[in-house]
Amino acid sequence: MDGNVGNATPSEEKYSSGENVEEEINKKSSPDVPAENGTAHHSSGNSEEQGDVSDDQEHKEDVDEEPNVERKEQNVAVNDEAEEDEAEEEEDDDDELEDEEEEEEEEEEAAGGRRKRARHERRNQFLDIEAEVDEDEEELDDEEDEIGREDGFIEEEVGGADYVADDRRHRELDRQRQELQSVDAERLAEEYREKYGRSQTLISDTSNVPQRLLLPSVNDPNVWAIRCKAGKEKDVVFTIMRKAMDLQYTSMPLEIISAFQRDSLVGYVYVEARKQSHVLAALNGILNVYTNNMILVPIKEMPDLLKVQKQTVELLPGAYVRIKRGKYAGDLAQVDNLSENGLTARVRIIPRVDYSNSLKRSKSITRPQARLFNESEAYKSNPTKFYRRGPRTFVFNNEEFEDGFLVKDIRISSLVTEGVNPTLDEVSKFSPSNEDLDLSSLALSVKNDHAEFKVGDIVEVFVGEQAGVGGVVETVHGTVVTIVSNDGLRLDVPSRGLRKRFRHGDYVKVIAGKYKDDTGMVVRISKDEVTFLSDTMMTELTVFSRDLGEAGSAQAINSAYDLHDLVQLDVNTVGCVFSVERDTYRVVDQHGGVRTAKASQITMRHSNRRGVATDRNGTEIRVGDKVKEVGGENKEGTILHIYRAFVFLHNRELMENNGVFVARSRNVATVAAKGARISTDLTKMNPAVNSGPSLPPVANIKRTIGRDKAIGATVRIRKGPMKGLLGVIKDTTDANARVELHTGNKIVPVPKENLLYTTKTGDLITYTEFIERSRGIRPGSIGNVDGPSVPSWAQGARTPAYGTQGWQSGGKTPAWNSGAKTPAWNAGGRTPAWNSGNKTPAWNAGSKTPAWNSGSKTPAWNAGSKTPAWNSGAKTPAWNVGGKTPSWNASGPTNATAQAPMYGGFSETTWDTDDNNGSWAAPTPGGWAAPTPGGWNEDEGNSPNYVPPSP
Amino acid sequence: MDKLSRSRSRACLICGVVLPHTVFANKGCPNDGVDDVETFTSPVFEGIMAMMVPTESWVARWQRIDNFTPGIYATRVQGVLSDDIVESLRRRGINYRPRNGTPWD
Repeated sequence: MDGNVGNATPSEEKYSSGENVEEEINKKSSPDVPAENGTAHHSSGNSEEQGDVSDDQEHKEDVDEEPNVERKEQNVAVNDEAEEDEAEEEEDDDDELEDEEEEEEEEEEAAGGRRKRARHERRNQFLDIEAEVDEDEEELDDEEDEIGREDGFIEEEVGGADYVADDRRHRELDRQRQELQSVDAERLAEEYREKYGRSQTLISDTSNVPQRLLLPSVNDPNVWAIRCKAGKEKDVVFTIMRKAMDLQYTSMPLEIISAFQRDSLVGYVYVEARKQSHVLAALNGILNVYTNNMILVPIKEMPDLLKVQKQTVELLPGAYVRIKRGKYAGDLAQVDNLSENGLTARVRIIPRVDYSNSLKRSKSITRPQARLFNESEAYKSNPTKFYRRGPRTFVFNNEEFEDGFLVKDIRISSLVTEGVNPTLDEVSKFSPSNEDLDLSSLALSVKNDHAEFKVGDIVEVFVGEQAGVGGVVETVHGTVVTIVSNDGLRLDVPSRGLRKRFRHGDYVKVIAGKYKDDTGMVVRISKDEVTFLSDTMMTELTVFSRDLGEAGSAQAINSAYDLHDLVQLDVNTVGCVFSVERDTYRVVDQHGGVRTAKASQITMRHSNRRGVATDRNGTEIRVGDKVKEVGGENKEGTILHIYRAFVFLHNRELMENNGVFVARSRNVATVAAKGARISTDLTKMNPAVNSGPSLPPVANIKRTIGRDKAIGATVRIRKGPMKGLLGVIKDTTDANARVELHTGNKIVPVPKENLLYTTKTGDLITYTEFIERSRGIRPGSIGNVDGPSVPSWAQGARTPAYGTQGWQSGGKTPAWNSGAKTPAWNAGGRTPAWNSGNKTPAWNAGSKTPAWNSGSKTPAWNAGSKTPAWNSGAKTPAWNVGGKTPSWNASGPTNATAQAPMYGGFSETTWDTDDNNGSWAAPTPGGWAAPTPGGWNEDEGNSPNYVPPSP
Repeated sequence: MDKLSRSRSRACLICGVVLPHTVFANKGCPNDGVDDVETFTSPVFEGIMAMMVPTESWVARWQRIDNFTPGIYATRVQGVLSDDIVESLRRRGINYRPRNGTPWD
């Protein structure tokens, strides 16, 4: 190229006089380059170069700087005699940053020829190779022109420009090829590398390559650590940059490659260079750098210098900080807001205001006490500097006070944001007394940034050379974690470079932070943020993986109280938790009300799972049984808890309150008992009943001969654990019958007298009666059979004369004998009066009392009372009509009156006087006592107070 | 040299170059051309680098600024670009990596 230029130069000189002509030709011969544009561009480009060279250009071209300068010197030598003015040379100097293509032109310029043409070609510096070819072409073009002129063909060329241009192009191309070939191959390669190498390699290179592949190698420049004055690191780096730019285009540019500092590495600057001498040269004359203290950074440690040393706590409103300097140095402040650019923070500080009279205020040495702003004192102190801005906002001494706090914008750089460690005492001053402390923001300022690793955690290295390696934690020593990688390698990794690894579907528990103790299933993972579906809130939560742990069991170990816990809310309220939301619980109380309770409002949890109650049928119900409401909404549910007379039920299909509801035990009926329960017979647990005289032994009943008539009969069990169940007698012994139950398909042995037999008419009768009937014996004869063991009183009742008329048919006797289920009662079903919830009145109403009394002397009492039906019933008259009643009652007409108001009066005492106690009690205990044990026997004379046999 | 003055200088969130606010506003970022100062630059940055020869520098390669112009760069720039801006950059062929200290893969 130089050669080329050298060739051209003399000819240019020679024809310098024909400049104008040549220019014209040039314009015509290169129609693809509009001359006007070129000129315009030239001028603008020129001015730019002369003036402030854009950084862009400057940097781009500084690489070529040296050879450029050299060549220019050459030029000057070559073109010594050429006419050139000072201005031009100056311009050249300015242009020293131009590319190679331009150099040639510059040389031409230097020769003093055709400045304009040369200039307007300069625009090609921004075009790529085609443009360059073009340029060469034009250069040749020039030469041709010159040749043409030599031959005197100028005119002709001007005339037939188009044709000639075409022809010329071919020749130009040939020549150009030749020339390119002649250029030194090495130089060409260099040229290409310079032009394409950079952009191509770099863009594709660094943007996609993982960082671990960018680790330094021996081929990379070295990095020296140089001590400098602490706090001056940035200054030094800036100074180095400045110096580098200053010396960039001199003969002695800095040869270092880069220089940097880190805030976390106080007292050092780092310089990257090929040679130590370059570093020394670069730092020569720079203040605050101590070059005699220079350390070569080992290649292995180089990445550490650039790694982020500490993650600054990102300030958020509500976080606590400390003030670094000034009057409030060391004081705790709460961030109120952050400025948009992130430079300043609006903080709230407990003010230290000096309320002493500001006029004669000398600068007090002791700083004022920190206490909340007092507007009246401030006003007294200096009314002229006191303004009210809002109900709780004041301005005093140009400082703003809100709610007693000083509100101030402070640069974040003058705040301590890490390691604030506010004490609870300090923090409590910031939070209004009636509000709970915002512990989450407190935690934010106190938070330890490192994850806690446990042995066995599955982890992944995410920084450093080992990034991407997964493994299992083997040991933990402070912040160094030893992991066994998946390949079996043992690695020591700083805990900050590790993160826990979870997989989709993992069951995790939050071990730190706002959502502590929440559990859920991982649904999404992005880097170290894990999103999981919370069990308690049923929403997706995103937390850092370091705050997560593997949950041992699939149980929401949320807090003290769990879902479906029975909790004590206050002295007489319990509730069943149906929804858990972190520290608040939604609870259905025993009255069916729904309330929200905080953990602190819950006194205790009832853990008694053994509660027993009876349902409306008297059947025992326990936790886990499936029952159904009778009446109301007929909701079905599984018993969660039994509390006194209330049962808490759960039905998954109900939407309301997550399916938890409450019912009274007496308003539910068993649907299915849990398992095949053999529960204890409640009557056996009743001492009053047990102590009472037992039934006449069945053995006394005359044995039947032959096949027992009872076999095949449909029976209902009237006592015992299986009370109420229907079955068919399969076999009998003397005392027992083997009954195949309709329900459960089981055969159980039941004492015969505990069975009620179904007659053809659908009545239920006792065994004795059944036998008698089947034998064709009238029941009245039983009395005779029974002999002395049958009480006289009962006997009386059963005497044929007495019973056969109205009684037997109506079943007076059974009423007595069979207790709760005597036909008399059962007439309307089974003891409905009994079961209807309120036993006492029912009992009174339906059963004996009125009957007895009505016949006797207390009509007034009975008449007004509840038993008209009974009285009007067919049986009563018969009974009453019977001649015996008066005599019977005669034993105590007074009694009757005495008893009248109080039902209880009817009980034993009365009968005692009658001397009938034993005989009376004897036949009836089962029947009587069974339904009414508590009230009847225990609370003498207070029978209305019936307590169901529930616990 | 005002371009090196440290006051009011901001760092580009994309490339990390540190320039005065006015330069960003008037000329845009020399590397990626963005000139929306508030969106693409941050006043909070750390780790000043004076990069003279990015093509040769390992530091530049590690920081992925080796195809950028020489100048002052920041190791870490506080702030991230929003997702849709990142997307629009990607369409322009710029693969954005936050320089706020979050580790690169």
